[in-house]
Amino acid sequence: MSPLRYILLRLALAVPTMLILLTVVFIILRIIPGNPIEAIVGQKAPPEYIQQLMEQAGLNKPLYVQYFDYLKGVFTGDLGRSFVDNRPVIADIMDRFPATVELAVSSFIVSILIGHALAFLAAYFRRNVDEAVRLYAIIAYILFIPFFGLALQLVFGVYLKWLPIGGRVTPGLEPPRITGLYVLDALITGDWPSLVSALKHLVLPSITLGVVISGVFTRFIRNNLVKTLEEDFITTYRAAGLPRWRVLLRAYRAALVPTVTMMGLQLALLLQGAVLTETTFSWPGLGTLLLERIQYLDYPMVQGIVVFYVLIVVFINIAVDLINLVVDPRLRRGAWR
Amino acid sequence: MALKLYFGTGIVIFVAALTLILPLFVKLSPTMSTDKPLLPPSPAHPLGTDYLGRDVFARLIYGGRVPLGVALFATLISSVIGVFLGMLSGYVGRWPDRALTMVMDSLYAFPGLLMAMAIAAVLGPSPLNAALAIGFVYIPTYYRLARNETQVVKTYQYVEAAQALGASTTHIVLRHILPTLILTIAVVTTINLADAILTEAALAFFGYTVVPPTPDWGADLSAAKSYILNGAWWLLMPGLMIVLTALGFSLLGDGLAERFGLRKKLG
Repeated sequence: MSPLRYILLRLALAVPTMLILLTVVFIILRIIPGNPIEAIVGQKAPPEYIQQLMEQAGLNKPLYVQYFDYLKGVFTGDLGRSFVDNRPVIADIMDRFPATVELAVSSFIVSILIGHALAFLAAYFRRNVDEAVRLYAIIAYILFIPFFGLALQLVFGVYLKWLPIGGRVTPGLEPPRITGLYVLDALITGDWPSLVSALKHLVLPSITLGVVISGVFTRFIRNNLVKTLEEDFITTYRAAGLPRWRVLLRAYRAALVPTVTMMGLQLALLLQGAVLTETTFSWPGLGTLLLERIQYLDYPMVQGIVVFYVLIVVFINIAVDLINLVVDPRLRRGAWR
Repeated sequence: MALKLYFGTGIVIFVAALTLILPLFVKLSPTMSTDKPLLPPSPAHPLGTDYLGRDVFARLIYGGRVPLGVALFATLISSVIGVFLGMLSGYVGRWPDRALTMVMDSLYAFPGLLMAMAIAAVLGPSPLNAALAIGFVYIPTYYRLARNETQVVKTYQYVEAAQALGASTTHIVLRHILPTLILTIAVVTTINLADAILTEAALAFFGYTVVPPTPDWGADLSAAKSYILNGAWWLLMPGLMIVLTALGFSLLGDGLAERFGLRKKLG
């Protein structure tokens, strides 16, 4: 299969996944309670108000019409208007999305660094180091994010006063909005006070989320390394007198393909972890937006955010497969399958 | 390593004793307020008091009932539905299997907590609703397991023999395939309990499982958030219980998987 056909096939496979998830979201938000507005606003709201909200959201139409309106909206980027501020849902989402990206990317980097460092240590030394690393992986995974985050806030924010415990930047130091990623925007505009403040605010949340995700990474990279080290070509390298750490690097190259795939699979963990991290650190991202709007009973916004998460999941999964095209020579040469 | 099994069992027994048995003997009220809020630990209040002056230790031992109950019920729901669908799908094969597998794989790729939040938000805050929400998101975990196992088992000769004798699909699935899965399912359920505890805690942290003043570890940790600035470290204890409970189930599950040689199968 040529790389181009592989890419096209991958894109085609993403369509049913997206439709399935969008349908499940529709079923959850529209069908389960009978009347979602009433369920969210509460039975005590005056009937006229409920009627008005239902018409505004198009909920008085037959279900199948609603379903196709909903799909049409998703594919044309029109997710409706918020009940709270009457702005397009997508505008509010785009305001908040960069904060989530910043948090997710920096946490991902933290987890990759920790995961690789510990996995290499475990594979290099084995024995007790290996056991300790495996224990770390178990404990990191079950660290409840709000608990770990609040504990870090207590130590580094309250006791030591080294780092801020919430928000993205010291109020008043927001960099001009270009990408919405504060660190990047501050770098572009050369706004050093903003950059320092944004980085300081980023440390505790990214460590919180990064450590939790690193549990899975550590375990997986370590297992792959150890498994690869048992293969014949490694024995050849050893027999040729290659130093231990260089043998390890070659084993890592072979273990890279399953590692990339696995990292893609942890996206769900990263996104749901981000929601918890955002709440713990008052981080103004998509997760906190979702929780706020559930409280304000902003039905179109809640639906829009969940749909947006569906789109993220689908697109990242495609991206992971394309990255595999780069790291896996078998796929590139079209010799695979 | 048998250590995992021992530690896991020990932790689970400890948590169960603390939350299910201790309240029978210790007469403490988790909801009664003293007029002294945010007291640090002292002999009268071993873990201090919270922002309403309620005894944190009392809330700790009562606050585990909802998480444990919800997690157990949720894993029961998802294992029964997931295993049943998985066996049926794996046994029947062809297009129903491909369609259902595609649905389950899609659900599996989506962040479970977000799905559970959406369901819980629509259903309203209650332990039962939280259990339904969590139960729903873990169905694919059991589905995949049961389906893959069934595809292997259905080629065995005793299944073919049953088919030749004219046994119905239901009979074969329930009497010949299910028994071969029970052990694996039990181990996976134990590991899954750790995840369910964490998801329940997250939903509780967001306010979707109990209505105040009912004690719940996740909800109590959420209330503690505002008082961290005062250095009230004892308010983090419910979080420690969440982590400890999840660790217990995780170690127990891992230990069982190793004990029964299922490590390879479960990844």
